[in-house]
Amino acid sequence: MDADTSMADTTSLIIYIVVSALLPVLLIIGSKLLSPKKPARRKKLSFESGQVPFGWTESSFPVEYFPYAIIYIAYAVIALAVFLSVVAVIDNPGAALNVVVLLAVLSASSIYAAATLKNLPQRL
Amino acid sequence: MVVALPPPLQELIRFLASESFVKAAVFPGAAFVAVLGILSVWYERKLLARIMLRPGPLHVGKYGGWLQVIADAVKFLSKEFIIPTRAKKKLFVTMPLTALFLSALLFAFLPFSEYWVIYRSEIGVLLVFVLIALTPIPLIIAGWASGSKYSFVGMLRFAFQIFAYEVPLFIALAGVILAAKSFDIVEIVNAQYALPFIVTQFIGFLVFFIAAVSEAERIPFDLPTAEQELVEGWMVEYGGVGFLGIQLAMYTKLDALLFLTVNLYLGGWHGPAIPGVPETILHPFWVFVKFLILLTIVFMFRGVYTRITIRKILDLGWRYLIPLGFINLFLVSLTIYLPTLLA
Repeated sequence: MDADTSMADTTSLIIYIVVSALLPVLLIIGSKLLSPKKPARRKKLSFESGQVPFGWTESSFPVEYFPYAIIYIAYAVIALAVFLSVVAVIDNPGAALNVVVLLAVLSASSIYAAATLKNLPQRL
Repeated sequence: MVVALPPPLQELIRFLASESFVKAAVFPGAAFVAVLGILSVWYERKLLARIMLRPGPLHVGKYGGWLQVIADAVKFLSKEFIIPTRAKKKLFVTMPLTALFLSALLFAFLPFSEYWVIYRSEIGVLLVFVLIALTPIPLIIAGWASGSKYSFVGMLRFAFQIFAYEVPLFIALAGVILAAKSFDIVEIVNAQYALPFIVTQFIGFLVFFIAAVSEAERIPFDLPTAEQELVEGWMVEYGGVGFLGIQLAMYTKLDALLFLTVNLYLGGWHGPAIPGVPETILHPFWVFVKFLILLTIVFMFRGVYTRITIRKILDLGWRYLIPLGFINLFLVSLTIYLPTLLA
């Protein structure tokens, strides 16, 4: 990519970012111009299927699907490791064997995790 | 007699006709994204109507009621934007519009040919992924900031769903990068010149496509906004311009994800040559045709599938798509590097 093309691309990107940022601003201005403004207490109540909202309580919220939330932490790190391996193998094809072994182990362990997840209690 | 325009006006005309401005403001930039959003909504309505044996939009606009979408946009703009008492005002107002901005930004890095791209980056696919990962965050905050129990439950479901499907999306993407040996989307498309990746990585395509449909929160993965039980879930408190912003953001993101799928798996702009049609028109044409096929499939899901439960959504993401993603990656690494290893 030569310098002129790169410069033109950067200019396009800047213009596009400005135009994209203007779109929400235009929507707000359009709404201000077109919409009525008649505040009322009832309008500002939260939706609760036609009932009078009874407010928030200090009860504990049951956490469901807890194992899934925990496994996300593990998989997020693994996904990063896999991604870095892919980058490494592009630069250094000699490391291909290591990556193939890593992916084989990950495939087998993810199948094991998938089979185990179903049997774990999902609610705390 | 020719009248010379004043120099500032000449400069302005030169700028408006420049390649940079045309790409950013017309195609594949802002005007195209806006028209695409309108077209997508209209197409969905007409297609669903055909599936349900009814005409769909008909009266507003001469040809297939196409002006109905514009009328709806004006309707949303002319409705009062009510901010509930319990809502966090600043977040409630700004988050849908931030989501719209981030979704629109996706198109900055999506190529429609080697020429028609707003910004070609050597790490384009990474930038797109970062934006895909960022777009749900303002929407999750929007649900939380609404101060409603319904929004809160919808937001929790949305967060669980997004977490479950981002990992497989990322793993499937790694397979494409591994096969193309590049992060540049243009080079990824060119690597599919002979054979699109949908053939060599069919499992990866399935994982990516299902995860993309879930990311866009389309039926059967629309539980966070479930109309019949959570009455629009995390967006229940939004009306007027806020609801319009969310809808535009969701449709723009869906379109961007499908264009990305076309580039990553369906060979992008590669297609049969049509005599007499120059490549500058033909390449975007093929991208658009492939996009329309995917869009039709996604919209047909809404017409033929029922909503699935959160347990099944999470099961599909964590217990099926992630292992399938890893298996796909393993197969890709084998097919690409086995000859090297054997040699």
